[in-house]
Amino acid sequence: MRQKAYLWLLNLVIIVALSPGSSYSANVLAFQQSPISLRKDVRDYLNRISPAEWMEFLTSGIDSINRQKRLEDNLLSSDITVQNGSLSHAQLLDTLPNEKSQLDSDIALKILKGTLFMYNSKCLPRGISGDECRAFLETKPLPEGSPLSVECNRVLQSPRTGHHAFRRLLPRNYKNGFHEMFGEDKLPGAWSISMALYDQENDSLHRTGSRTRADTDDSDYSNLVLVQFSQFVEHDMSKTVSQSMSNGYPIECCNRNQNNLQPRFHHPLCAPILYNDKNNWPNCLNYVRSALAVGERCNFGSAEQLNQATGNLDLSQLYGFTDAAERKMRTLTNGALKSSLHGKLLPMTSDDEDHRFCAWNNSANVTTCFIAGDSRVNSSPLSILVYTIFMRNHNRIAAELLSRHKTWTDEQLYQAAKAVNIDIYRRVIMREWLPEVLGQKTAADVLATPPVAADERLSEVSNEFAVAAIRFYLSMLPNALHNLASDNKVGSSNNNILPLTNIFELQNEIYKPQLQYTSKKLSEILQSLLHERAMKMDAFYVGAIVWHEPTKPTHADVLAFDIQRGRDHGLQPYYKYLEACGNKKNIAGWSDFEAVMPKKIVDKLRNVYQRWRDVDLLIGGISEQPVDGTVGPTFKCILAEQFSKIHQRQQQRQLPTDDSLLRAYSAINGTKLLCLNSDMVSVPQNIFRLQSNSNRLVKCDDI
Amino acid sequence: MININVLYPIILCCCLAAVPQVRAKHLPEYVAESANAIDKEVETYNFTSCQIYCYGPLLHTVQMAKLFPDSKTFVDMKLKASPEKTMELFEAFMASKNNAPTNDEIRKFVNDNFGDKGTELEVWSPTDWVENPAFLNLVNDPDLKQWGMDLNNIWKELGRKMKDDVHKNPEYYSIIPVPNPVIVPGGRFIEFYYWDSYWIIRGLLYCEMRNTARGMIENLMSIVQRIGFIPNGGRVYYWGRSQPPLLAGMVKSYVDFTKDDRFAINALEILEHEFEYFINNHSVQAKGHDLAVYRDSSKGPRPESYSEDVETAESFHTDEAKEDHYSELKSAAESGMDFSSRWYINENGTNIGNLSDAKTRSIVPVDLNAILYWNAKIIAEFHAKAGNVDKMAEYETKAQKIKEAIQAVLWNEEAGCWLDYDLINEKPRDYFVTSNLAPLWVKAYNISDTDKISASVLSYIEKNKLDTFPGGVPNTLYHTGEQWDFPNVWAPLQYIVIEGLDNIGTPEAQKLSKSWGHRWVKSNFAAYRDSRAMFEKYDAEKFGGHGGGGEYGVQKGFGWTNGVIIEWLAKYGHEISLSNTGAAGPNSRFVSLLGVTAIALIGAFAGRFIWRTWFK
Repeated sequence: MRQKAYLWLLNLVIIVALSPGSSYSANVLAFQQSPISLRKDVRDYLNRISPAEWMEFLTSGIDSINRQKRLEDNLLSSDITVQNGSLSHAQLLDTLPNEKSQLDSDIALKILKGTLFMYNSKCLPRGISGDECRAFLETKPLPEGSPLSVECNRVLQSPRTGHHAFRRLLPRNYKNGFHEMFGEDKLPGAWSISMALYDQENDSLHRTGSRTRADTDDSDYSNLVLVQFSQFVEHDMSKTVSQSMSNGYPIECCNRNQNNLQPRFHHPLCAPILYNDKNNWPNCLNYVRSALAVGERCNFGSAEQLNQATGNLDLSQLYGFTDAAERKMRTLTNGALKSSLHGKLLPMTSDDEDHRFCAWNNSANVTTCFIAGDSRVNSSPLSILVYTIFMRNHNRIAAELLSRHKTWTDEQLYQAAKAVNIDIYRRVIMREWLPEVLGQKTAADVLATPPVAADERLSEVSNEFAVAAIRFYLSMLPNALHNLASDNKVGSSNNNILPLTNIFELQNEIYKPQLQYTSKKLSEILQSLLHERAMKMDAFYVGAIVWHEPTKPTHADVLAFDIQRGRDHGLQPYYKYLEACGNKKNIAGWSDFEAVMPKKIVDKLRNVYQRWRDVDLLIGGISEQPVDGTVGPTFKCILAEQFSKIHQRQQQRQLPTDDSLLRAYSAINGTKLLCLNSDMVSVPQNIFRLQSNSNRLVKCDDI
Repeated sequence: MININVLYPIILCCCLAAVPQVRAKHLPEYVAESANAIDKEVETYNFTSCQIYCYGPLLHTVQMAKLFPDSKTFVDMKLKASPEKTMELFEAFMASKNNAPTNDEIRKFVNDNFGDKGTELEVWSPTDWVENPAFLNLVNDPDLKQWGMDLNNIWKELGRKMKDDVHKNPEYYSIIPVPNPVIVPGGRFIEFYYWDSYWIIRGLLYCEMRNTARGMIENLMSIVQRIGFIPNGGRVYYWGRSQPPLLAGMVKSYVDFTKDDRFAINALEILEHEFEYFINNHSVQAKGHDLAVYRDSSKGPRPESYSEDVETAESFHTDEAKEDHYSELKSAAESGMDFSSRWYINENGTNIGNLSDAKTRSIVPVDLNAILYWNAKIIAEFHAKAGNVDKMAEYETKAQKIKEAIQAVLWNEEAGCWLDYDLINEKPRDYFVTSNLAPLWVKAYNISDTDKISASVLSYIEKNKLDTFPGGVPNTLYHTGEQWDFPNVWAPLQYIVIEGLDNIGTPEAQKLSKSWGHRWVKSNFAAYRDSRAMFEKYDAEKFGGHGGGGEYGVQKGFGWTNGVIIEWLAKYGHEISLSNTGAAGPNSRFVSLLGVTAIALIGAFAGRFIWRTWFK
């Protein structure tokens, strides 16, 4: 089995056994992507399409996009675009495209449109299914010398960091085989699923300001550092971005009152998230279809969602995805990154960049808005903290290097510090974070993935990883962060119920940094993250990140957003992954889900979905009972598959840096990373778990 | 020809007068078989319920509160008390709330004083419905034949009859009482519509439902008798606008099917009346010729889209400018193409802009004048049947004059097609709109020019790449978001274009006509197979995809779409086969009539096919 699979490395995946509780033995299986066979008469018929007709399809596609500009002008003249400070603004910052993504996506969209003209003109009227038609189109190069072909090849041949198409573990799943989302005629609405899963009782329990500490053996519990590093890894490896109008303006799909727009203002790329209020007015949250990339070749029918991030653990979220962005982050002296407050905080945005990093409205008197390589830095105080730690770590290393190598240039210092910083980060993620998430056994299997041949093409981040599996951490976020800073004593373990104050309420801080950020404040946050138990990884999200009432929303619903995005990206339903990942084949009904999720949850899902076949991957994934690590078997399978690819990449593509330099810093682990880059007095050995008898605090002075 | 100046109708102006209103006259005796003695004097017919549903403070207050996602909901609700009493209650309500009620208070007022929408109508199964109309025998393909049967069944879902109370207490309703049951378009359109009825009636005739068809025509004629013209649809709030005047076309369709010349002759007076009335109230002069434009005679925003209109009027700063804007919008509604870049004239004289650039009243439309030409021809033809030689000559002359005006003002040699004419900038509007081809449909051109016109129009079609769209000819090529613009395709205009190309008779035009006709049938079928619905509008870029845009969601039903398909199943059914393609293998089309009927029996859609697996 192994031997065979190595020949199919692109489809390589670590698979874990299914039944919960059993230990996982790693097998190497391929996600089955059985190629669609074209009937001979279909192939002959499609082969008869003349070059002139192929050109015409492309021209029609381009005409169609050009016609859309007129609608876009009308939208803008009616002020229908994302307004600063609106809900859509915060959401946009999560999916903010850079100019390069917009250009890539424009080309991909034109190819898609041309493809759809062919499909609608030739395949559909002849009764050729979308899948069959696409199988043909994926092998059909764009007409040589056509302007679109030229543009497309220029994109493919340009040096690219990031901006690749996501990879798929299973074939795409669209209404027409190409890009049309399954809608509410077939599936329950994204928002109604989110509302049905919301648990009022559970939420109010967590809203109250008291909490039992150390009541059981805390060594079993993850803390919020785990949650936050998970998000940090997501920011590094995947960034889906939304499509924009052709003039670059963001698309808005709801009106100012968070209601559905009139159809006349509906942009074709809109797929708003809707839920009727008690008077049958549809409340509305923005959703714009994700940007597209041209795929691996300049063929018809190969457009796929674009990943703006680099599919690698390289801290691009801190340093920037593009050279231009990276230059902006540097001081260009002594190898340092920009900072503020004497190096303690991330740099602040300049006036013209505020709205690309924070969701303040135009009249807000903004004092705080941080800048990093990724617009998502300000998504919460927690993410600000983690970005800050790695910024400090870079600058600390650069300063050390400077003191030892006085003659080094800024560039030398910068590159060396960056390489060390990334190496430390990778070690923390692969050696410490991954076992917490996947469990020791699976993590070890991932790290045992053999390297690939040096010339092997590296595979990209999987769509399933990016928009479903890695999003598990959102289920573990609390409404508020309690202030546990006063309780920072080595070995403290009293069973008192502590009266707690909150450092912040999450819903107030999303892309709107309102705290008074100081070095001390960040230490408080870090202290609390280390000692605050993460919420359970389950199908319940707290009220701060979902909107659970049929009333006008005043913040977004990330669960509904993720469900909608999974459908936008054409992911297969959950059960297909459950089947593909496990030994259990041929799932036949709801009761088969009970092998991996609590019956109570299965019953809840039955009320939401009419058919078990419809359950979205994300919802199935978060509903599974975690096994060993943090997540259930299906997410574990998808995450393991991805990290084994990452591991291969790291083995294949070593940074061009002196190994001795990296070795000098190889003793730095998570504990040291936090100690060295904060004012902490002590940090647990395992930074991803609550302190306990088996996870003792380490005094930072002892390091 | 008659009058150049605008003659705003006096009849309905009293509708604007403040309360107290004179109680409406009793309905005249409904015309049945004979339609004599139409009073040429314009009758004053006053809809008492207009103070609630057409204008006034109550309408304004309720509609601006935006209680319902569709603004049309409120104006279709029934009154619980008389209009006068309701207005009194409303005034008291406003006084009690210091003239500033909250939306919840307004909602309560509406709930207290109005009943549900549409309760005045009950579903009516046409009594002359037949299970297997003969046109089905003309359809070879079994799936298309079953579809034809389904469409015939849908008439039963679209039939509506007014409850007796409407005739007894019309002032409690916004519906305009008519004597006979009707077939409605469907969806939010729960009452009859004027030009929709043309294609509906033709569909009914193909389905051998002559009584239903005649009843609908007689309804329209009774309205002409009562108020002089036919409003946009069967609601009092459409009181200031008509729609493309196709009553004569409907009568002609009926007479062509039934050979009932008597009916044609009896209709003459009403047809003449409607024709003269329309001309009187819509004429303009362009390049020294008399032509017609769309024009509305009421005041205020469209009651059924009130807040929407108020919002687009916000860009105008004086009451007069706002009122002008409302007029442009309602005139566009009269055209049936509400809304479209077709009606925009911006300050540069182009069609780029949005609703605030609507200048409908200053655009001479090709289709309206072609239809008026056809009206005159039909009236002349009916007079010939009656042996009224003088009258026949009179209307032939009128038709001739309209044709000359169309040729002189609207035909554009350079474009090779007819074009709407911009009265403000005194220039043709060289923008593609399906209605540019309307003269072909009614033969409003010199027959001696046939070959030349055919060649010109075909090259116009080529130039605009109209044959590249898999889902039909889009209404325009301008994607504005309005529903009568790109990419929407509408059955009636598809019909006008395709029948027009057929009518001109050259082999090339007929070849294109047939290819487009087949495509339309197949594409509509694909949409129906996938969604089991017939749509109000379709999407030019998609084979089997429905349209969007405008101010309400896409509607299903749908009267005129069904009518067109039924007619074309009869026309093309012997030559279209869904499976006879090079691509479809023996197992690609496996739905046999028997097999699917078995599925249908156990399916939720009794009497309908389920095509889910077709094409797979």
